Order: sequence, then structure tokens, then C-alpha cells
Amino acid sequence: MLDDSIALTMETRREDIPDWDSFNYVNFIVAVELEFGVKFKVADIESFPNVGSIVEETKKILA
Amino acid sequence: MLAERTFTKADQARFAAVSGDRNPVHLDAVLARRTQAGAPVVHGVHLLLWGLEALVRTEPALPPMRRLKAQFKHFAAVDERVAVTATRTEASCILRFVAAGMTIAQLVVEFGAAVRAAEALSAEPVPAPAEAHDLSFDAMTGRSGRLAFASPPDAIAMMFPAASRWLDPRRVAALAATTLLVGMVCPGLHSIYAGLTVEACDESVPEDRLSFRVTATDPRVRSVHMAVAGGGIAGAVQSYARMPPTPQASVQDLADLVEPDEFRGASALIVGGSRGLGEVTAKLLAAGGARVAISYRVGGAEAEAVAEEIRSAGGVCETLAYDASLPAEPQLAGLAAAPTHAYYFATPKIFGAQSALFARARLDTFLNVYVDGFLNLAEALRARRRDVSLFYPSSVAVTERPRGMLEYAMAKAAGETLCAEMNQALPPLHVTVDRLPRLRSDQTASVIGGSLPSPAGRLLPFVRETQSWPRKAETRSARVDPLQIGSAG
Repeated sequence: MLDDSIALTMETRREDIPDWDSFNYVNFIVAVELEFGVKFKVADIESFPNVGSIVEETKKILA
Repeated sequence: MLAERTFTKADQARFAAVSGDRNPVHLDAVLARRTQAGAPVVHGVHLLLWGLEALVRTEPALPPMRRLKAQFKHFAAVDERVAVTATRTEASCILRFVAAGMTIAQLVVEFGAAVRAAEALSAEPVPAPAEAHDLSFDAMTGRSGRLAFASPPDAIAMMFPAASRWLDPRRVAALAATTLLVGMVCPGLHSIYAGLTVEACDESVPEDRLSFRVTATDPRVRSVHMAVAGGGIAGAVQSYARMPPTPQASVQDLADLVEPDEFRGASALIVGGSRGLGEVTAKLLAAGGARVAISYRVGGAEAEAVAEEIRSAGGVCETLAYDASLPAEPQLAGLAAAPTHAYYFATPKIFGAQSALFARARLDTFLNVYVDGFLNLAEALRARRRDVSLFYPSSVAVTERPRGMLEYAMAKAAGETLCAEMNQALPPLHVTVDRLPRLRSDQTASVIGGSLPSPAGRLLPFVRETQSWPRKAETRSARVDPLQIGSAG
């Protein structure tokens, strides 16, 4: 991620972040996976509505 | 600001020649428009080396490089203005590359002594290929080799003399070899270079080769990570294997959806029929017995391939060059028959990076095609047949307004209003309008592929609606909604 000024909340959606695109999104997802040692399903990657859903899925995998 | 410039087609060709990265996404306007980029784009490493060149020219006594970390975030189009700024500290310098008000790439330079010796990652020699390898994703897993530089380091040094003096020509050549690796070897033809992290290394026997090994692939997001070493650098390269251009259904497949004589007697012009939704529409009409003419702006060979497929299936199809931003009348002169129906799929590149809420120039680009171009075509066709029936593909973006698509939505909304006015003012000419969702095409391709619906099922009801015009006067007067959005099917 190039922009350290982005403040994420559980409600943040892809469309809330200026200049966000699928390329950034994939980079973000991969970074989350590396950080937490998880692997999301493709269907989930395509449909996460917001940051909260990514957090919830991460918790579910780690539980 | 450190420096500013545009990268021209000639600049691209020059860098491609010395780096060996002749991937069509950088050089070929026809093939590049079938990628996510939509148009030829600057090599990321070209940006990187230009930034370093500008940095060293500004500060000739720069400390030695220990580590470089580059991220290529957005494409920079050929002929687009790019600026680079530098933020310097004692230990590092951050270069930000900005186009159209947004950061498209970032390079962090850390200063210090070379940290380790480079170790070759493979003994298998790989020559610099003349054409980009077209690998399956599975074939990328575990791939390795020792890739020969495409040019001697001195050739690269001529393009980037200050950076070469600072880094050493061989290290600059090795950086250039990373784009040769990504763009031509692995992932190759369908690649996106996402970034690299390399450290300066001391080599006991310097060689003009970059060894590489694929260290991780992820088929879910089509990422390809590689370790690289050679030419005085060692580190990692991040890339993606983008989806190949979206193939549309064949005439044979689409023939199952229509009756063989359903559109017989019609002569349909499909503007933008060489690929995507226009290609599907042309094939549906031809499968139903219509005589079709498909237009292209730059993809003449693609249009001819679609036409040949239609002819081979027993249909009648001609092709013509047509630019929606130019007067329609002279461009239609070569048509064999006056079209009874016309479908307008002309479009600029839709999806693109943008920083501002609203960009007037972007709106003008869309209006030029979606409003002026459509009216221009309709008037030229109406001069041939007063009862011509046209299809105008609008978009759900008009109401959904996805972020970053404001100008597109505005222009399509303006086009809808124009169509409504035409239906009221120009009968028996008729325009059928549909707000299309995102359908599978080159314009909607992503590294996560395959989830969007194919276009045929969505388009067919509106093809039938368009083909049902002209109608008898009493039928027309019974209709109250001139836009007819969502009325078919």
C-alpha cells in the first residue's frame, strides 16, 4: 500500500477509498493473508463488502 | 518536483529494444486495448530508471544504493504527463511518480554498502526471447533459469548515464532485465509487474545474466513471486498473471439461442463489432440470418477474424473502419447496403485511475463518443433510411454511480436523454436503450476472473426488441416510454 494516510474502520468499503482498484484490493488481501497466515476463498475475496467482513472471516479461519 | 515528462511511443520502442521487454502491452495499441491497461503503457522499470536518473542528476554525490523497493500501483499511459518528486532523508530517498494527480508508483532508495553476495538461483540458461512467452498459470510454478540480458550494460548506460555512473551499468542492466523477465519470460505475455525489492550485491564473477526462480504462485489472485539474482542485485519481484483477453461465444454456440431465420432480411451495422459486446451482437444477428457489417477503429485483423467466423458459419458479414469521433457519412460510403438496424458499441476505455472527483476532459472524452458520435451516426443512417432502428447501450452506472465512474455515468445519462429526444422528434427512426450491467469483456477483465455473466443472454432480448422496429404506426403510438429501459425481455 502506498498511502499510509488511509484510516480503515470496520465499515470501510472498497468504494470509500480514493483511487482504489482491483489491483490494490488484491495487494491488500494478500498482505492480510501474509500477516495473519490465513487463506481466503476466491468467492470470499470477490464478495467481501467491507473491512469488517474481512476481519470476521480472518477470525473464523483462525478460530 | 524532481522532473516531469511524457513517455512517447518512440521512448517506449527505445526502452523495449535495450531492455528486451517487447510485451505488446507497451508497444501495440491493438493488443494493449484488450488488456486491463486499455492502451499502451510505460514499463514500470522505465519509470524507475528515469526517476533514478533524475535523482542522480540533481544530487551527483548520492551515497551508494543498498536497497531499492519499488511498487507499481497504476499504469502510466504512453503520452501521459508523469512527474516524479523526491523526499530525501539521510538514510533514504522516496521517489513518488504522479500522473493525473495520483501516485502511480513509488520507489524507496535506501543508502549504504552492498549487503551480501549474490547466489545464482539456477544454472539453466534462458536467452532473451524475441516474443513474449504465453504460459499457462500452472506452467509458471517452479520455473527458473538464468536469463541473458537483452543488451550489453553499456547500451542501457547510454539511456541512463547518471544512474549508471551511480549504480554501475551492470546493475542498471539487471534492473532492466527484471522487466524482460516479467514481460517476456514469466509470467510473460499476460503479465503485470507489481513491484520489486532488491539489494546491491558484490559478485565475484560479474555476468550479464539475471537468474530467477518462481518462489510462490497463488492461482486465486494469479500472483507470481520470484527471487532474482545477478548483475549486482538480488531480491524479489512481485507480478501478476492477468487473464488473457476474454474470448466471446462462437457463432455455433450462439446459434442455439436464436431461430435460423429470426432476423432474415435485416441489414445490421454493429459499431465496435470486432470484440466484446459488439462481437456477440454481430454473431447473434448473423446466426439469426441478418446481413451484418462490423466496424472497427484499430482492430482490423480482429474484425476480419470475427467476419470470417460468421462467413464460415454460413452468414454474410463485411467489415469497415469507423472512428466514432469523426464524421459518419464518409465512413459509411463503402457499405454494401443501407443498414436497417444499427448497434452502437463504440467506447473509449471506461475504467481508469483518477484522483479528482470530476474531470471535465474525461467527461468530454465520453460525451464525444456516447453523445456526439451516436447522433452523428444516427443522422447519417437516417439519411439513408428514415425508419432505421438503433440500439444504444447505456449502463447501470447511470443509477449506481460506482466510484471513479462519474463522467462515464454522466455521459451515458446524457446519451439516454438524447435517445428519448430522438424517439420523439425523429420518427420513424427509433432507438432502443438498455442499461447494461457489467458483463464479461476485455473492459471488465480482472486478475480475479470469470465471475461476470456472459453477454449473450443479457443482450438477446434487446437485440430482438431493436429488430422489432420499425413497427406499424398504431403500435408506436401505444408506447408511452420512449426510453424503453427494461421494457424488453
